Amino acid sequence: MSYNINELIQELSKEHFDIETGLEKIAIYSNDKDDELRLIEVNNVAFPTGQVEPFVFASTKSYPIQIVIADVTPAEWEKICQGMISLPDNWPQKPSKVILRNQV
Amino acid sequence: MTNNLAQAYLQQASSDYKSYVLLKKHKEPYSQWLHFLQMTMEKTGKAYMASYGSNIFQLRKSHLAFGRFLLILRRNRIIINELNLSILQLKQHIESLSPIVDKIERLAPALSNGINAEYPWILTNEQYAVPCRYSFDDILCDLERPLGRNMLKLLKRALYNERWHKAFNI
Repeated sequence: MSYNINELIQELSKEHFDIETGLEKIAIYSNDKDDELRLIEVNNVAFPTGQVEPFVFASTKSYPIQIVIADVTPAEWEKICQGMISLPDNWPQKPSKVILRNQV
Repeated sequence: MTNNLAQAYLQQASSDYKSYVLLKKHKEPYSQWLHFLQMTMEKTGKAYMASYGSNIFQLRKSHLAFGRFLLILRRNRIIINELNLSILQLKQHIESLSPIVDKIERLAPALSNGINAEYPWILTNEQYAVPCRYSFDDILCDLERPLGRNMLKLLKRALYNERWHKAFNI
């Protein structure tokens, strides 16, 4: 199935910011060529574990691509940016995009 | 074999969790992997209750074990320190999980008059709902949200984190 990953990101971001009031930002760790959408959601209701723990969601009609989401707290996000919390093995070290609430 | 009842429950819960992950990954019907998720939570809860002295006969009769585990978890100072949370923060996190934990625990047929993950149930006019064809929208919607993922994070810690096991003498 063909899809435009940037449109999917836009749609998913809007949906998640609409539903989750504690969501502050979404960091995208995929690019146009990836076959899965990896993201970190910085959310003040995330359960803090000091790790990035991704959960996989299979493709659906609405999102025809596997989505991998890890929730972190704002404090954990700062540590990720400082390199104090590492990312999963196959993830790039920097996000390709960070989307703020007021950008959707 | 093990002579430690809590470890025995944890080992079986861990095996259930692997089945949950596999069934979900292979897009089996929702009822199938929800059933294994419910069983993982039940046995994990029972492992921690065993560490508090419940015996195998009491545990076999008990239900809603994961919810009860969460209540004892929030009083454990080693866990509170490890998570770097205040007692109040951990209490708030755990209370926020109560609705989704309760919904999943009540998928066990023994706790449900209707919707469950194992057996058909009566709708109306002699029509029966079949778990493997049911959508479980309410639970799936919760599981896909941050609170659902928070619950899974906590479950994984309870299953696999050795410091948590030590904190409860498992």
